[in-house]
Amino acid sequence: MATRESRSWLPTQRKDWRHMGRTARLVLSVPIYAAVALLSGLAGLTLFVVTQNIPLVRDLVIFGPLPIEDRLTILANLFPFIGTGFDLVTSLLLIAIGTLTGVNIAMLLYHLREHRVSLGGSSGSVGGVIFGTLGAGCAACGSAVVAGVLGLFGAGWLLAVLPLEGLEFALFGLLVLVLSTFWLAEGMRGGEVAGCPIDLN
Amino acid sequence: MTRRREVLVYGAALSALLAGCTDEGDGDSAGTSETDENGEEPAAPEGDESDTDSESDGAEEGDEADGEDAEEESEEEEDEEEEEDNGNTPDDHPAANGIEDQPTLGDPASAPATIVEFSDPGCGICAAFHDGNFQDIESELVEPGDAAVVFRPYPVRDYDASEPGSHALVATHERDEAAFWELKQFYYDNHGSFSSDDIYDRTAEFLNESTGVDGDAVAEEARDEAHQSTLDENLDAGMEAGAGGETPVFYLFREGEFVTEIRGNQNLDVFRTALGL
Repeated sequence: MATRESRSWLPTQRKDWRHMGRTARLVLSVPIYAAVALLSGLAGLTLFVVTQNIPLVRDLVIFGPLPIEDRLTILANLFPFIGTGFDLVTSLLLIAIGTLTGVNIAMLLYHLREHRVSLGGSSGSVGGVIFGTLGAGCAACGSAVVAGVLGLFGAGWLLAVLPLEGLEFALFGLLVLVLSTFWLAEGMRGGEVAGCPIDLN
Repeated sequence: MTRRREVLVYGAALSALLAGCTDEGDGDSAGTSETDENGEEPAAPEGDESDTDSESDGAEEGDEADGEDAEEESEEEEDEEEEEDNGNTPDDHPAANGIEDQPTLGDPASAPATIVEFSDPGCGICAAFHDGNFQDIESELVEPGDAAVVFRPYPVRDYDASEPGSHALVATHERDEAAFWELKQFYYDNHGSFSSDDIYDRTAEFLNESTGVDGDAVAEEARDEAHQSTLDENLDAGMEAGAGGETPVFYLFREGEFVTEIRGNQNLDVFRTALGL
């Protein structure tokens, strides 16, 4: 495994990005972990869109008198590219965030199971996922929650002065997830994934 | 914070409902169940009392049950009577406080469903909603008489157009409702282009050129914030309903009863399916 001295903390070089991408690709080449990534990414995306309309989901999708097809119609139309709740940029961001969330979880599970690393021993990797989850949650809830909280204190103008009207939270979440993916890849450096070595350099 | 307030409001409402049920349980147990032509409940005839004197003890329990049933029936009839007066107009939710004076498309009293929209004239998401989805709802739900839409200016986003635009919308509505809807669309079609320096002049110019409303008078009233009480009513209603600092927020009602709340630029399918239309 790579020593602390040789480990990068930020993906500042092209080789860092190549390493991150290769590690993720190798993990996802294992079918079970690809399924984990897909399901957890979908779950993350679902959580993101649900938090934008909790009363609607609670009242009519989970509970309420509607038949199953109507519940699914409402839920589906809350998603980016299916409904109109998100513009193009936000939709792309949410898809990216959902995808990275899934990749993060798959990589961490692989690292813990296949490399037999404990949670304590892979604190960097666990920290990466926690940080990534925080970022993803921030992206989903951030602008909505902040708008609500700021409005209660008469400071809604703070959100208005943000150049992207709160989309900054989604971008921050995406950045955190990228870092999390990088830290996970760094934590797996020196081992093997799907029989292929993860280079030390 | 917004979600916590929502839980507190629901808890308070539930407690009030339970307390109300307790109070109603202590009320009179009327024996009659029919209303007369005037919609009033006639007094119980005296003969009913003599009929009960000859009944056995076991029948007394039945009488109590009958009394409770009759009490429930009279309560239901009172509700029905109230509904007949108001039609389907929602009246038992904070979002519906004062909607009778608000700009409305369709007839809330006769339409099966009502959508109450809290919207900020300076909000980009509101503008996106009014650039397609609103028109779909208008053509597919309002025009056939399936739904009514009530628009409540709700300046919580602190954009340049938020408060001035809201004041101008209210001032315009006081004069001409058709002009209100024109001005509303003008603001959303030109979202992001207004500043606090030019919105009054551009509002006046638009109204003078495109409607029969005196735009200069509207602009003056907007500058003077002459209709602050109306906006305060909207702000109070929105905050109490739980809209908080977000827009657009929609409160859906079906036959006067609250169904759910929708946030953001959602499409016709979401509204129509939620309302069961």
